[in-house]
Amino acid sequence: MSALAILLVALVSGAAELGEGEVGLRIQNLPLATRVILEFPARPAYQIVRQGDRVTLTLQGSFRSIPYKSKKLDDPVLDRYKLDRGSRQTDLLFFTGPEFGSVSSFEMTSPFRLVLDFQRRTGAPGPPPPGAGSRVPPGAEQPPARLPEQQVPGRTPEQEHPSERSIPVPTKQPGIQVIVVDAGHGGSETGAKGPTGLLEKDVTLDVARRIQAGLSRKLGVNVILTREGDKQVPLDERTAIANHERADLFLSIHVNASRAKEARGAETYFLSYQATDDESRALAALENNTLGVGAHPGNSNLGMVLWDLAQSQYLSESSQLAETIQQNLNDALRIESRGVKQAPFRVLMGATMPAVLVEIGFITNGEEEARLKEGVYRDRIALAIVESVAAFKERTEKQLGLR
Amino acid sequence: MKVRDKAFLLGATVLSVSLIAAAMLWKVDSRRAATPAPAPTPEQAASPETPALSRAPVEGSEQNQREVTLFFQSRDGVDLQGEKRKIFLTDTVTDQARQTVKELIDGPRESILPTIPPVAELREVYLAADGTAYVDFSRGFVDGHPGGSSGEIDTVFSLVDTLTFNFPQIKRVKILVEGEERSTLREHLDLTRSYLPDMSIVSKEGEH
Repeated sequence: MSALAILLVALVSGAAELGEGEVGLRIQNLPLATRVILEFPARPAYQIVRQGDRVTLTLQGSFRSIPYKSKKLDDPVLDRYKLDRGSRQTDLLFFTGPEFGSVSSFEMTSPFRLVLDFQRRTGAPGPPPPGAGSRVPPGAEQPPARLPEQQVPGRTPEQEHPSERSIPVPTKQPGIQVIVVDAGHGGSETGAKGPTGLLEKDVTLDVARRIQAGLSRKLGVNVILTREGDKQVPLDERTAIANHERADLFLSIHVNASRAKEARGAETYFLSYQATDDESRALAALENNTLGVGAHPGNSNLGMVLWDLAQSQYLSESSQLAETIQQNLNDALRIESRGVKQAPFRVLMGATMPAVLVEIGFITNGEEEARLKEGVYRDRIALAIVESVAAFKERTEKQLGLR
Repeated sequence: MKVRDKAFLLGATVLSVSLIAAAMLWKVDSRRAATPAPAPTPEQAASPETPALSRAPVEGSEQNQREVTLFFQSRDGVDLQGEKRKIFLTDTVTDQARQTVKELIDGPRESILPTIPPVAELREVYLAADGTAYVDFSRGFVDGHPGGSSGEIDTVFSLVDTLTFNFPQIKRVKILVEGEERSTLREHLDLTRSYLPDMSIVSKEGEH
């Protein structure tokens, strides 16, 4: 099975610079985290376990790390790493430092990369902030500095930052201050099409702009759109924008389609996560404590085993936000509720914040298509979403003791 | 016309109809045999199945057929509904799965809705030893798809639920397009993963 999977992935990724059994390892020092980027010739089976001050990445198969087998980093978050290579299994051991708080992970594809973020403990002094250290205000001229690892195919290496150190990332303020609104599809990816020719990509962009205006006016938060015009933006880049901006919420706006012309109504989705067999086994082993992991019940913030999905840590908040949005849409539009649903949507997967995808109606339903053409109707949708975010923001900030 | 002549005419008609039917079946079978078999992967070699060698279906025999349930889109777009279909009981699960996916592409006969674009062609079905069926479609699977979260969910789970429901050897399904892994179908569902069945979206009438 794994051989076939490797074969298939190799087929897709094309020319891989890394040889089989090689893992490229790079370190980036971010203001609030130390980022380890592991590049593989193909997606390996893996598992991440934290045990005290040590985080172990177990890879199925025999790997050697390029360029170093072990390295002392002299970093208060991540002190050093060491690779233990076996014939069937390889352990990459990360020894954390005194300022280490938690670890999270996400995946990037083409080529396959596993990114581990060793977060600085809150309250730790941290390095002096680069530049002013404040968040880039909305409408500022300064182009957002994308992290190289958050770049996706389509960008040339020349556009990447030459230095892997001191990348300016705005410092984080508590509460909900930055919201990324994603207008679904764009450019040649038109999305769904209505019976009279209305295009999903045009509706999503206009509704996203209305939401942006509403959120800025009502909540005074910084709202960033993943696209400003009719252009194609890869899905992973949309999430990467939200991660880079350290957004507190990610809202993806879509219009639904079905072969059933009768299908109507709004739906709100958050990510579903179907564990693979390997992960299920790891979880079972963890629950039985056979991995030798010290039990820390209730430490849901971290999770002892970190799955390959960044979003998995935010599912509970995403679900609450989805419920609120769905309720408000039902009330505002008085349309049939198709409810809150879960699905493994690519655009939600890598988001390191609560993230939902809203299907505001069915463009394939003649009546709904007609309503979706009206500015007044779009305003009602935008307002329902803005009010949902306001309620979610208030609730979250009360929980954080900010109100 | 005499009674004997009538009997003769009837006999001749029956004979010619069965000759035509036999010729058609032979043609279908030779076409299948002409399709080059894919190079066996190590997994297929390791799997308990014998390599795909379709047994010639015997004309008119009910014994050489089996029933499968195909899950299509309900008219109101709320769930999936089952529809029974007969396929040939060929030697391998892979070949039966191929026939089943082709029936899914052909669409429903009852007044329910298709889930796979009719322009899609099935390129191949592979069954790995771990129970993952790799179903490889032509570009039409993507290009002919109407998109939308609901539309994508209906398509993927129509296929996954149909294959896992009818073939206990198939535990999960991974979709390929033109032999390659795709990031998504039409920018919604992640297609880099394999899917386990979700029978919760199948209407209760469909589960018999």
